[in-house]
Amino acid sequence: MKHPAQLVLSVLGVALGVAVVVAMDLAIQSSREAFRLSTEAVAGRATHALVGSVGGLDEALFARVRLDAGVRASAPVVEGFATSPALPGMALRVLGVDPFSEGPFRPFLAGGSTGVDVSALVAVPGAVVLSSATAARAGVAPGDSLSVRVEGRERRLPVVGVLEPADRLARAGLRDLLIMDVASAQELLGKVGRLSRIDVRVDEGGAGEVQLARVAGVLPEGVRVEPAGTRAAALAGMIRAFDLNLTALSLLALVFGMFLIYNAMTFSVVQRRELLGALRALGVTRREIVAVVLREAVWVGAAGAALGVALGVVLGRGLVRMVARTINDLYFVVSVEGLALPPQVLVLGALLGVGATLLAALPPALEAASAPPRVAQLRSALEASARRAVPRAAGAGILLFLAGGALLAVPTRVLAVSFAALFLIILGMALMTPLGTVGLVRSARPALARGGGILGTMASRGVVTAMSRTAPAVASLVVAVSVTVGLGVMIGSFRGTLTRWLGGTLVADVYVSLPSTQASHAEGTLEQAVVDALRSHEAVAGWSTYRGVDLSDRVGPFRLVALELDPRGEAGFDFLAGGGAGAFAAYRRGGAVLVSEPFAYRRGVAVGDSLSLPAARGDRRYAVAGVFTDYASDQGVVMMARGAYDAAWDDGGITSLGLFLRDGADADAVVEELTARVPEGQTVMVRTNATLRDGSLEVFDRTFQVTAVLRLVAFAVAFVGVLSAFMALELERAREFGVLRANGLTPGQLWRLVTTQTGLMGLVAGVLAVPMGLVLAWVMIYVVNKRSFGWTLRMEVHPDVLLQAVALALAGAVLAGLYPAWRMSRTSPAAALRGE
Amino acid sequence: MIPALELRGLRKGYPEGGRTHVVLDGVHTVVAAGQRVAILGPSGSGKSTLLNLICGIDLPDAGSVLVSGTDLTALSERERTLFRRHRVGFVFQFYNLLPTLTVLENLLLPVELKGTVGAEEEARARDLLARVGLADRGGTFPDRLSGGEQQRVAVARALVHRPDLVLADEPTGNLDEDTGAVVADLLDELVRSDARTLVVVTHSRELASRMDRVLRMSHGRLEEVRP
Repeated sequence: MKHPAQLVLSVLGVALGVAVVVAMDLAIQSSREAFRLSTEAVAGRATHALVGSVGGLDEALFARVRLDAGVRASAPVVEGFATSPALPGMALRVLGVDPFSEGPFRPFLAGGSTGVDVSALVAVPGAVVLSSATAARAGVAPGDSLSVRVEGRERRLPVVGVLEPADRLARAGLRDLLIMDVASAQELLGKVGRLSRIDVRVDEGGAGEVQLARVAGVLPEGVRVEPAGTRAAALAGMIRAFDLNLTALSLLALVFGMFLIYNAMTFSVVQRRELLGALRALGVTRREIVAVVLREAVWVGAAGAALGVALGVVLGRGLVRMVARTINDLYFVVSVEGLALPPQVLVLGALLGVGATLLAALPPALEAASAPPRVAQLRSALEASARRAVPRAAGAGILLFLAGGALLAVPTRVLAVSFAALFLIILGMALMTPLGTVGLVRSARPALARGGGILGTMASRGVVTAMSRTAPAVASLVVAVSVTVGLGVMIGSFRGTLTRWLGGTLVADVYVSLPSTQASHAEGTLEQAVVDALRSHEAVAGWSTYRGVDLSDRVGPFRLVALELDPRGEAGFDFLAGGGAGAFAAYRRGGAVLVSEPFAYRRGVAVGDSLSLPAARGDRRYAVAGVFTDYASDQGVVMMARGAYDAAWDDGGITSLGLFLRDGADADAVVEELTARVPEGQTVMVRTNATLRDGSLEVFDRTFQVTAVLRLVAFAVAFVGVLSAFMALELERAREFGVLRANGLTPGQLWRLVTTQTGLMGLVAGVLAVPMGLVLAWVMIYVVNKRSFGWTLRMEVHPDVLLQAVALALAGAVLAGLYPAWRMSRTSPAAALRGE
Repeated sequence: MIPALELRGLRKGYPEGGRTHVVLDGVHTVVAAGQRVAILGPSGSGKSTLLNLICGIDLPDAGSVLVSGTDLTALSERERTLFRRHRVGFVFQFYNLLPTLTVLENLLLPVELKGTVGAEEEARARDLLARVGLADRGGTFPDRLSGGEQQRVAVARALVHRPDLVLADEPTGNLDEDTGAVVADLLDELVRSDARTLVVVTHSRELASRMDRVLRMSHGRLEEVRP
């Protein structure tokens, strides 16, 4: 290998591309796997579950199922979440069970196999059993007590045993479980007399059908039988769009890696045109030449893929925390212990790396085969044909761009179609960049000639005359920077929209809620005494109460919020459809609900439609009176008047409270006084409007940390690509530089010449990346986001994002040019002239 | 009078499979100002290496190169470059015109690097172009020219900035006999009319016969063939 650095950069390009895909896949899979194991540990071997609406089931139903329906294989379950100061950053899943009914369901509670005397759970009030690993982490052992917090209250629970999971999977499934007796869990979670669900296990086939029919016969209205795992599947489905967005972004990095391979393989072929021509003259067939080049690509791809998979595992360890935190913030509680390493992810990543390398190496391989069976075709002829290809590439680019646009116009909600369209658009625009490069460089030439004389002219002409080298480098940089622009504008637009929405929605001065395991919404129930104490503060002029509960329908989970609104609170709605005085009147009367944009989008409902909601005693229908903007949940929110909620659900709880203060009241001072009114032993979050808004934006920023990492890695791949391309370009010009040096060009002037040229390419890439980035942003904002999450964002373009992009491209290109410039300036002119 | 070129005990070798292959082994000679010297010798005898040492793009392992009294081996890389820029013109075997510059721009390159480009220099460049018979090709790019035309441009380029010393490495080596003769005529005529010192490395006895003096490179040393 004449230029080992080129080989190293190629391998690195593939490795980085593969690493980011593997890392992202591992992070997502690990989160999903942790959720699955945890869910399976809780669900056990149940075939079905009896579930109710808000507030769960009456515990008396368990006896009816067992005795009246005669289904002995049934078990009551109470579930909830808790945190522990001894286990910071970990959400604990409280599982209340009846140890004596557990035999057919959760073997780890059946006694014997794990060595835990589960009967102690019943004997000791508040007793808890946890896995040995979690106990060790919390520093507790049987006989100790574990401090836990539920809904802002701290309790000490006696630890009566630890589970020794049989294997790694069981350990992962049990790590976030706190197992209690049903009665203890009911008391701890504030669900006395209620069950979260009843697990049942029926026989297969007809016998099972009969058993289910008997169960159905004893069920009151509002309670339904679901196959086991229905809710878990619905929850897992919530993150499908989130997954796909991250996967698509990670694939982009691999696309940049393909540019790099294309560059390196083309360079390698161009260098050996003489040899290849000679081989053809000696009787080597075109097919054999293609095979030789592709065989080399396989080695590069294999080495890159192997390194990429290893890097991916390392990167995945960092990403998994970010991904899990985002899922926790926005979707559901998941506790990820470590990185799962499913072999199929690693194998797929490696295959993807080798496949992408082969695909990228195919054009240069075909070019190599086209070398005439004689001594090399002149480089100038190659460049002339590259220049002739520029308009053709632009034409093909326009066609791909239009095809992508047409695909976007297809009225489908299948996200893969949107991403395929996005990739077509990116590819189309990448193919248009050589034409844009020629145009921009030609228009910059007079200025460069005036400022830099013949060297300035050389720098600009060199970009156009070496199109076979410069075009892929510029295109790769344009794509990378445009993705940065696109994501930057999309995130900026999202943040701007969210800030405006929060400003309009958070109309109360002070908000009160319980600490929550999830950041996107409040959970739990405020004690009535606390609500009364806070509402009676002399500075409080009015209040709104909110009751948020999670429901589920055929589409998936959504949130129902019951509102008791202060008249000022009604101003917090920003309606996309409906709304107005009539809608509010219908809503207040109780017959109508207001739905969020994602809810309406996902379920295809509009104002005037009728909506069925699973109420406590069976489904109830409500008219949709308005569709409002909402960015708190992409699963959807339904809002109804408190009166209507109370009439349909047996739940008097309040999740959060909004307080309107008298004019002139100091919100911060009132927050301090209100906090002092909270009874001892309970933690209630009392926050000003501004603090809550800042907190929400903090969650938003945290959510996009993963995207920021992906942007960074994608740019790193592009940077390596540009470095590789520039190095190839400058190495090929070694003789030219030798001539210049022989004619008196100093090393300093050589530096300036090389960096002017690479800087020019960077500037051109930056300028071209701006419109391309804006197109990508438009697609991401108005199509991908809408189809992924169901919300409409207002596109906002901040000039600083665009300027940063141009500066990034310029700086990246100049940086990438430094090494070739340094190398060339250090090369002896005599050696360069000898062609070494 | 200070000689245009003086070589004192030049030694140069290249590493080759763990050994050093000695190319120049004690080269001595003195060239007077305005003299035209041909260096003959078989391929691989070190002629081009010698030329590289004379123009300072390579350094000897031992010995010194004095051009108009300036010892190039005592100069830094930058000083040698600047010396070359002002005092040396170079004609390469493979023309080595810069593909991204037009013929006229190629010609103006040494002047531009010298920082003295102006109306006078441009007029001189156009005059030289006319003298090499390419007056109407100033705006053409090199890849549109034949080999002979390219070498004529290269000859003009080597002289445009009025160097003290012109070096030519096989200037006709890549051309057919007739074209080579045209280029040799031009080189001879232009150097003679400008009263420059010329050192030309060549295989061509015809070209060598036009020179004032002929040297032969043999076993790493220079031998006088025709003083």
